[in-house]
Amino acid sequence: MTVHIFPNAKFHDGTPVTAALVADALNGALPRLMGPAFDDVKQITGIDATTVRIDLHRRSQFIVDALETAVQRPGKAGVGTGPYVAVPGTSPPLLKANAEYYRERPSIDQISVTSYPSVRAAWAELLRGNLDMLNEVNSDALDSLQGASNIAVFSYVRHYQYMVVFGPNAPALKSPEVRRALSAALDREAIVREALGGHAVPSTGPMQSDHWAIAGTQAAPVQQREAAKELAKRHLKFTCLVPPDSVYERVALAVRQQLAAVSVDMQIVEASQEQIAKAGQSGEFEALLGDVVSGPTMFRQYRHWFSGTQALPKPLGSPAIDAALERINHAVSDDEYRSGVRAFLRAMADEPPALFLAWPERARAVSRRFNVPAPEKSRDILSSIRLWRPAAPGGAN
Amino acid sequence: MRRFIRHISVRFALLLALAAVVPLVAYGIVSILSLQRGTRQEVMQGNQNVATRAAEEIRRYVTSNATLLKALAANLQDTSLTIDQQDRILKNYAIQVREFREISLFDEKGAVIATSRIGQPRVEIPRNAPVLVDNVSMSGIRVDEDLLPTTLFAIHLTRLGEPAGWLVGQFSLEEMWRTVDRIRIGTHGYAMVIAGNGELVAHGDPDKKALVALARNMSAHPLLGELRASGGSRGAASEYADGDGEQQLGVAVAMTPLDWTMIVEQPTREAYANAAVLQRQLVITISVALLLMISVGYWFGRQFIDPILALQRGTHALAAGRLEERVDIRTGDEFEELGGAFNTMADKLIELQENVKRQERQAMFGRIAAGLVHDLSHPIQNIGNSTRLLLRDDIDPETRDMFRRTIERELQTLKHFMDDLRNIVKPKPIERFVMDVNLSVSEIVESMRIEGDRNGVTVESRFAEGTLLIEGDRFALGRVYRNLITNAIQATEPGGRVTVSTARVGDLVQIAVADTGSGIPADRLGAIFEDFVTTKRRGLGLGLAISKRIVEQLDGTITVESEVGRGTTFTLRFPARDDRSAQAAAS
Repeated sequence: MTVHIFPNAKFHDGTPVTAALVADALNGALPRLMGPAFDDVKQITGIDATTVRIDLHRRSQFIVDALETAVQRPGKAGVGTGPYVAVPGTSPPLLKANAEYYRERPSIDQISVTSYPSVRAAWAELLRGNLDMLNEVNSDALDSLQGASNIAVFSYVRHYQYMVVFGPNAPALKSPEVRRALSAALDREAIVREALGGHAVPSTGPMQSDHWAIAGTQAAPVQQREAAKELAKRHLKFTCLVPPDSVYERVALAVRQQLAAVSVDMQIVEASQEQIAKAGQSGEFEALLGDVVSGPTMFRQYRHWFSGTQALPKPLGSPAIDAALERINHAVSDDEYRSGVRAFLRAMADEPPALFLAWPERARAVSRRFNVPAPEKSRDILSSIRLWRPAAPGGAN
Repeated sequence: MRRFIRHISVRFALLLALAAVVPLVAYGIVSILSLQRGTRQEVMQGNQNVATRAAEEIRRYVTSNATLLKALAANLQDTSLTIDQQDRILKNYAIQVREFREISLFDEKGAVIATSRIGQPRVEIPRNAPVLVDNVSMSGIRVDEDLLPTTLFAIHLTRLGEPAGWLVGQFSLEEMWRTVDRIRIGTHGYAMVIAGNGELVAHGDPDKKALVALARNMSAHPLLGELRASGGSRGAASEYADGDGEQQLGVAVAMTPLDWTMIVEQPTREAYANAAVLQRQLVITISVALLLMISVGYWFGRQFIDPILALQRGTHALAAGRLEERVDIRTGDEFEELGGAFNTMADKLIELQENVKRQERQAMFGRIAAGLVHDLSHPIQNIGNSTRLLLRDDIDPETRDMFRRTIERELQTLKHFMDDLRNIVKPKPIERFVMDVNLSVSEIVESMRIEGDRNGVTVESRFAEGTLLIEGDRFALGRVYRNLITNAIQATEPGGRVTVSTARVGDLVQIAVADTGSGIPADRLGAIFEDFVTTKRRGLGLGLAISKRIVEQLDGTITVESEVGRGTTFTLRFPARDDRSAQAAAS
């Protein structure tokens, strides 16, 4: 496989992006990103100034998906090639326009990134006119922003879903039958209705139902009554870590309420993002509620659920899941790929590593002080941020 | 102005305006004012009804949530629930009732017993809450951790009649926003809710939600003042400019017992849009009617006035002598008859004018014929007599010579007569030479003395001293002198006197011929220099006309002064020539 580099591309420090540097960057980043799948790669080399060749031991689907990784100059952390440059040592973080960007210099000179303790707090700041863009508009705020003439709301399909991820070392959840029963006990439509105000799509599994490899496949019928009987006998009790946000809180309470109905006691513990990350890294948790990226490629599924990857949180995998993902990675045709995906879904259903809940509607809100190009369908407007223009003369920061 | 009004067309237009246009315009103005007033009252009443219903809806919304909290309190108190059970109930409640962001149970001392939150409660007991909704205390508006407005509901629990803690719910005003957002009037009419302390609680306009997030205090809103002034019972309505300068029609209703105020605002441009359309249509209709009325009035007016104007033009034409002018009036009424009479009158005038001309021609012909007979008969008779006598043998040579001179003189007279006639038809060109007036006049006077003697009239002369030089034609001026002296002799009775004098008056040389004759009546003096006009009983009347023409050709003037019974004086004046070259030429 060969990768061609734009001839005038430069790193943020002004160094030309050469095939040799890119090969070094990929050789450094891909093993960690791909985990065992990187074993399919024989070598990555620059064969001339702008061409990188990737030699493979065997066919690999995931190597193509893995090239989404950000290329950074080897040995220089944070020195990438994008339209904005992170200014070191700034708090809140500051991004400055990359004058050397290979396409054109962005119109917006600098971007200040501010974090808020909750989406609601950020939304309130946007209402007050103290923000130009809200990176994430949750279901609570969506209604109040719709129709505002000074704020544009862009909805898009974000490949994240709410899920309760089971810890790999939780004894109570070791049994696949229990996990299947827990999954079957949930009324996802009720969760969407009660906890997310209807601004979400109930999950049917780890993948979005419109993925090309499973389009038209019917979800397996849920046997809630049998699941309830199974769980009622066990008096199951486990703890779920939940981030401090009202939406997470409501989702968690809704799940807890539904599980309580089948005699499952899901204890909810509020935990900061740092605490959750730490628990996920160590694998020392029974369950945690998260908003986890789950698409659009199967490589994402591989990263989360293949037992040999360095995924966070550490997955509760299974040999069947691993085998299905291997089949997908080495599929030589669409049919083989579809067959591998079906096997993956079956394995995920048989031994679910998480409770897949809902795909929330996602939106970004941008002040109309900026002209934002109309995004392509299902595309994030952030991908076109270099093309944003101040709407009023005088520019904007 | 008065002169302007005198025109009949102006009067007619004024009549039309007073009779039709003014009432129509007055009707239009009254209609528009009534429409504006009626629409304002109707729209205001409509918006007031909307605000009242909206206030009631919000009040019910808040009250129902207070009631829900009360029901929850009933489930918690006087039951033997464990803390875990209470905690689970609160958490389940928070999921079911999104209007409460948090519900927490406190003991009497304020310690937390259970909460719907996963972490620690964020609320505290709102003691001394100012408002009571369905026996649930409601705090004033406060801001939460995200600096957004919120309010707390609190129920003081009892057990066996003793205080047993507090159930506190944090009311999510954002959820209430959805209710407020639904209250719309037209496209741009929105509702807002203002708390008792003036803080904006909710605003239906998506662009104004920032004001809520900024905790904007609306105490200065004009409607709140009006509402306070009215005691809050009737509501308030007014028009005012909002913060953006846009004119708004606003109504306010007090929301008891919440101590909130519901205000519904609608831009007046939208509120009165239908009325504006109606008003525009009314103005257009009235304008079209006005235009139509003026056009029809103008057309009818023209039909009425045109014949009068045509008659006026015809009359002016006749007065100017254009007798061939006629009027063409075909109205089929009295005007047409008047036009016909006018044309008949004009025809008659032409006929009369022709008659007068014919009579004048006949009279002139008679006068010319008589003049010719008079002027020619005497010389011809003298010539005839002298010729017959010349043919006789018994006359001596001296007498024969006298007859011969008579014949020559009369032939000269005939020649002069013929010259006069020829001069009338084709004037003889004048030749200018410098001449001495005294000399030329004296020659003529001397030649005319005989004529005077024959008529018993003394012809005298008084000449200025020296020479009086002018540029003139000796022969032409001789004819003028002769004409004037002949006329003077003929006009003077025997024994009378004709005096010819010359004088220098300034730059002019003056020649005067005065007689002591009968004089010319004043009413005829103006015409005596015209052709074929004479004061004599006989003669063609060409002498003075020819004389005047000759004098004027020589840059001179001829004037006449006469008094009946005293005599007449003709005065000639010519520019004097005093330079040496002129004198040399004259000599």
